[in-house]
Amino acid sequence: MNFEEDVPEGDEEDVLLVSQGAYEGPLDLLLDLVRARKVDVTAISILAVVDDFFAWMDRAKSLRLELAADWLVMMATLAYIKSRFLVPLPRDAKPDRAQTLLEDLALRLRRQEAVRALAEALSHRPRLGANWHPPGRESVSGREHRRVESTLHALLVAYKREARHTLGQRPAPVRKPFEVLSVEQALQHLKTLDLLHDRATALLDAVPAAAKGEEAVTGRSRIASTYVAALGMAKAGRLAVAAAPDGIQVEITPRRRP
Amino acid sequence: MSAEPRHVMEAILFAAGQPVPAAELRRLLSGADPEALAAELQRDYEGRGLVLSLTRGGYAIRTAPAASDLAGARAGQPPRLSRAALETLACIAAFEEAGSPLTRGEIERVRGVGLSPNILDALLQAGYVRPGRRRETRGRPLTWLTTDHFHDAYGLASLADMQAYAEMRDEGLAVIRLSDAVPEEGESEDEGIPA
Repeated sequence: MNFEEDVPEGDEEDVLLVSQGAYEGPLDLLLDLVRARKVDVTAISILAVVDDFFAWMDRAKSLRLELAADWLVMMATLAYIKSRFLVPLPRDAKPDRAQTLLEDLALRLRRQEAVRALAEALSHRPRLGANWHPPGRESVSGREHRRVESTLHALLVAYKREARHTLGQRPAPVRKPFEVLSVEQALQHLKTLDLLHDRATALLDAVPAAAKGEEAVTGRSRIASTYVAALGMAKAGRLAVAAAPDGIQVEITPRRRP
Repeated sequence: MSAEPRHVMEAILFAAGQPVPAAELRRLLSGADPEALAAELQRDYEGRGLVLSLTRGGYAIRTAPAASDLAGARAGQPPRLSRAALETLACIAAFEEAGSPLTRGEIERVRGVGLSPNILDALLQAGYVRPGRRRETRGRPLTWLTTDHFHDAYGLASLADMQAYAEMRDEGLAVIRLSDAVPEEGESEDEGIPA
């Protein structure tokens, strides 16, 4: 037999429950600490609050992993609040921004408490299929009689039921290889180019023309490969590579084979 | 021989299994007042193993929670709801009752933690929540509502039956703050308090 109402709340696997006396969760604690100090949030020393928190944990006398995690959340919130005060005020900002922010935070925390209280109250109510039952059904937990409220609802439920069986792991996306101009191709291009023998030509002018709709990486590779090819040909003694008089461009001049 | 109207109503509810709306009962009972009959039936059931439950979807006959342990052992237990799932359910129900259904993002803001997809899945599977209208804002996010089955399961005519909700509403906490939905100031993509 299963006495649902006797099961303590804390035994669920996916629950981070901090229930130490009057405190329920770290943000309530934070708010209490902040309230107790009765100071401007700008003046909060994070160190001081950390000290308070450690003192509180000593009192709680049971260091649990959840507490450490909650502590991180609390610190993040504090850091957030402080950061909101450190950033410069916009010119049209209201001067009572600090107060608004604090009140906003307080309201959020009270709302969070209220939602928790409501969830707690729900968990203490009898639940159909668990603590009370409809008449005459072999399996009350079955879903066959449940009314479908909307097509989207039906779809989502059905999807959830089927997904784990039918959806395999998605294969990793295949990355399309880049289209680039290789140095060999650039070399071929330079060799076939009909360069004037008595004049220097700007190397950029020797770069092969762009194809229609090419990607940016292809364009960059055309230039880079042509420069490398020009250097290669200079090494082989077939070109002279020199800076143009403007100091920006690079020019090439073909050399006759010896 | 004509049966007493309240017995006819009892038979209808027993055969239906699921909640029958008051309007349908009135039609079936040719004009008799279901509310008055329900009160009579409720008196009949005092000290019995059955109860008459008034939920959002109508009237239903259910086993009395105090007498249901053996019936439950025979029927098997539905999956338990985790605390996170219950809180999410409470959020959805409370804000629906207050007239401003929440989107997924707002549920996260209200609870102050991220919403794992498993939670909504579990609630969907239990049949307690359903998607509602899309909010006509950026991204047209889906809002979430509770089902009649949720009200049936917890024996609620409305969430206002619950003291915890009434308190929340009276304190003005069942509201979406402006800062939940939009960045507070300027163009910053402010995500609110990372509670």
